[in-house]
Amino acid sequence: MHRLPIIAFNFATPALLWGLALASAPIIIHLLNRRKFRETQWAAMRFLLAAVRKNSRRMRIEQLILLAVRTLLLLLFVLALAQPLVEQLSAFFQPARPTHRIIVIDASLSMGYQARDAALFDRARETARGIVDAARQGDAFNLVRLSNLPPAVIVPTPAYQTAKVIEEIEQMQLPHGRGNLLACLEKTEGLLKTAPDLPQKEIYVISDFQRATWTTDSPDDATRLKGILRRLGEAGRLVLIDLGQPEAANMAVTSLENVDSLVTTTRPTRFRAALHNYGLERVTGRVVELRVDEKLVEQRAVEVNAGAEIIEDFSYSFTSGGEHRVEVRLQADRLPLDDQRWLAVPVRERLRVLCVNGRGGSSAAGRASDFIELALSPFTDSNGPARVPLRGQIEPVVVNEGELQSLDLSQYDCVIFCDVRLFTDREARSIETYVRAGGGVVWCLGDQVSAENYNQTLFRDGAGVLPARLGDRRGDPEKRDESFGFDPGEFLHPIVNAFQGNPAAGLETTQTYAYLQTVLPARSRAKVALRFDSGDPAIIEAQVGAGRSVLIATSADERWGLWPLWPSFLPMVHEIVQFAVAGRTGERQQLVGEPLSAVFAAPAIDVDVSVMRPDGQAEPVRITPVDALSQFSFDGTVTSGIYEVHFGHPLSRTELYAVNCDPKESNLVKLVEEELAQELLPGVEHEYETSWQERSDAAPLTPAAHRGGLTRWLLYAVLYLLFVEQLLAWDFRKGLWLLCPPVLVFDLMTRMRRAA
Amino acid sequence: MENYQKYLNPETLAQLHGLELQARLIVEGYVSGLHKSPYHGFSIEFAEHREYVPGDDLRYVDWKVFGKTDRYYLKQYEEETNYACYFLLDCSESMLYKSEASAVNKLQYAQLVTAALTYLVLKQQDAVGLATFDTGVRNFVRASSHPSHLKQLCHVMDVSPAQGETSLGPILHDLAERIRKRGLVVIVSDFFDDLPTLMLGLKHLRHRRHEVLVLHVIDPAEQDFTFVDPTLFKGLEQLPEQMTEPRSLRKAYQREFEAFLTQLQRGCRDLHMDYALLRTDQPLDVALRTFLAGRASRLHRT
Repeated sequence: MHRLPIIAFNFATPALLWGLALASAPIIIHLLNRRKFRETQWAAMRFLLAAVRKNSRRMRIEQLILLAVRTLLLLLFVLALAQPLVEQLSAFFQPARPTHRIIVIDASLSMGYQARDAALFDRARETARGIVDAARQGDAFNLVRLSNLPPAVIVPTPAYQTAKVIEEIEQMQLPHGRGNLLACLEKTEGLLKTAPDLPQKEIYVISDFQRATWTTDSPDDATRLKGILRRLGEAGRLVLIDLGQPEAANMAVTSLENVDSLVTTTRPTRFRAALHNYGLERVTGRVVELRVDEKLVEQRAVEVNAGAEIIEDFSYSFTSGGEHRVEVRLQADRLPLDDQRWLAVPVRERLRVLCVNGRGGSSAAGRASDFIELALSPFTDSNGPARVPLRGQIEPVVVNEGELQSLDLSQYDCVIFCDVRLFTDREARSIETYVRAGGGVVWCLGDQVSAENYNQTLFRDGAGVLPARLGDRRGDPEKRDESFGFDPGEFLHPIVNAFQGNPAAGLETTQTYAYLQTVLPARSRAKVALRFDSGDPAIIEAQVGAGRSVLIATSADERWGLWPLWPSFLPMVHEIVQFAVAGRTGERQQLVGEPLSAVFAAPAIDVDVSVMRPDGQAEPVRITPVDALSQFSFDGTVTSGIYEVHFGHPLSRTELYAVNCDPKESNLVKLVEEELAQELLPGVEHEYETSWQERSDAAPLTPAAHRGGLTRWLLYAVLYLLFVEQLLAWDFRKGLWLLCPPVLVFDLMTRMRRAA
Repeated sequence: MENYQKYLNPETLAQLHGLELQARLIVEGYVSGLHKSPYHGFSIEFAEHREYVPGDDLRYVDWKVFGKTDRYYLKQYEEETNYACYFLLDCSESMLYKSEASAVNKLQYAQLVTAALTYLVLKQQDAVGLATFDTGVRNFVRASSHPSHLKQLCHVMDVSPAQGETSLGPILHDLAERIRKRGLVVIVSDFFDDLPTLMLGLKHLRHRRHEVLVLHVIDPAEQDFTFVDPTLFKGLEQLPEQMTEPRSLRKAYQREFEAFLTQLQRGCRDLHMDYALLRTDQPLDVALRTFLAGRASRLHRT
């Protein structure tokens, strides 16, 4: 191993070293003094002689010591003038040169933990203030926030005025996001270069060193992180100030979802909340509340074992449509920010479904869409003359394919195409616009379907709305010599999920005699929801823009199989429609830091959109055109809660968005000092403290950055020796006390012994 | 009226010539400085019979006169009028030392003191004798109370050269034998001599029942040792020279010197002798006061 020398001197002005010759001056003066002296007659010679006889030995030693002190004094003085640059030096020499200090404050959610007196974040700010307050003249500061939310760098240019930095620290608020360690440290490393005139660097990292923030997911990131930390450690003094609380208990609501993807007023909606106890002790009697539209609707006490997660199901029936806010709130603990979770629930009173019929017919259920229509809205009494549809949640509207061109699709939540022969480019474009703006389409195939036209106008090599390329037909519906059943696999997809453990629904016993083989494009986002037992996909869904497109590979009437007559058909159609319209209500749940966005049809470009934050502040949002659509995007989601998005005229509606904390921040397990040193900073020189204080007892300094401290110390030594020299010349014994304190102790002891 | 008090200052006196004049000025200066002499009434200037008044000490009544005249007269100061005061003046080489701080050397100072006291004593019509000495007795003037005696004594002092070493012990033995009549012996010297032999000499004087007043004349530098630079000290009285760094030696020297002073003072006290340390930078009234105070105490003792 290469060993560095302990001390390596380099002199800024070596020429001044000639001054070392000065050190011989006292010796020369001493020698000259022996020749140059006064003469005097002296009467009291007998006393002088006696004194000399008794003290000559002592006087000679004293003279030698005095001579040595004087020589050393000049020696040090010359060395100090020569300005030694200390390449590497022990901690003894403290520099006083202006320092470039970069303060990194952890602003992840876990810093909201309420320690004994204040939140960790407040303590971090207080600590940062202390560091800034202790600044010396000429020190420069940068302030960095460890957060995944912008801005990461709060004071980007080195600030020499501490008041400005303190003001920035005072104004810092704790966002509810996570910490993006890598990005933050990379920015910190970049800041090191912003003050090239201050070679002395100090980096303070104030954090709770939560494991979730300070460990990386991939080995590559871990290597990068170690590399950055090593470079920071080499660039200057790296101080880690750990405010974290070991074994901090915390309980959090880690998820909240509505079990039904479509919420209507006709049936109760189920909500599922996950409560996690991250502490080391069992929690009992903690109250959890369900609030809808800020009103308490249900309250119960829960018990959670240490480290365990429980699922709590709630049920609620909405009486009116529109936007509703649902909140699950846990009795607050030390980290209150993650004790509540929101859900924005758009409730529909009625779904409008457009069925486009590709094949007309006069007989009962002769049209391609008849079974679908019946499944969507069953009649109350099929025997009666007045067939009144059941007042359900879905309102089907049936049109023929020729009418498609004249309809405004955006009036409908879902469009189901039943055995439509072919689409013109214009139709395809309008359907695509509709889907990308959040609409849902379902494609049911049949005899008339022209696979070639579908592939050309709708699939467009994966760029269109059709999730898969259509291929050849398999099976013969006329002969019906070959039948295919459904294979739902593990029932993983939401469409078939409801059939799990429900064999009476008859999904697996459904028989189909013919279907079109489909080919999923490579790297497609399309998913197969259901397969035939031959292995070919039966139902494929894909997200297109904000909307969803579902392809059913067989027909929705009885021509290609018995499915529409089978019990599984009706629930399946409902499930498919519910799935397809999910895009209509949009993605309303986001994590802190993720943008809120929605897509509209073209005229929305003229709409004024503003977002009201949870704290009541409204903020206008810019709308950008995307292809033929308009999109709004709001990325100021710094706190958790419900965000209200107001769309002005002509849309004139309000949508709610729930922004929640990342549950990873709730786990307060932290890295202890040893783990930090071993896992993140192996071989990196750093300081670890649990609270900050002005360095009077500062730990060793890192090399290279600390130059010029020696000159000061040399001059101090010169001053000290000057004083000692004067004292020695005046009263040698007292001078000796200063030069060698044990002599003082010895003298005092002697005196005390004499006194005794 | 001329301010005589300034003549108590050795610096002023050094500017004057003639020891006699100096002596007179000193005494005038001293006496004029006193509002009322505490020694008034005991001085020798009233050395005559005085009629008894009630309250007078009966011990001083002259019974012979009473026998003759049947009147009470006080026979004051009969002893004093016959009192002989001998001054022993050290004229050795060491007395020549003069530091920068003082205006006169030790010998000059001793001469001033001697002359002043001589003047004072003669003015009181007592007899004064003088002996100057170095290694041996150089001059010896018998005691006389004649006013013109002052002139002779001053002359002797003026012409006595400073030379040789001090060897007080034998000299004191010698003088103790020479001075027959019991009286006051004032020794003015720096006493840089072997202390045991000196003490023996003093004891001899005391044995002869002389009152002894020791006036120890030293130069301030000898006590304070104020030298700073390296100095070559050349010994007077044939002592070797010594090169030294005075600053580092000061304490040791002062210890030696103070030990010497203490021993001398203790010796004098043991022998019931009056002792006064005279520094040549001090005004002369110290010597006069010591002398007169000694006289007063002796009067009270007898």
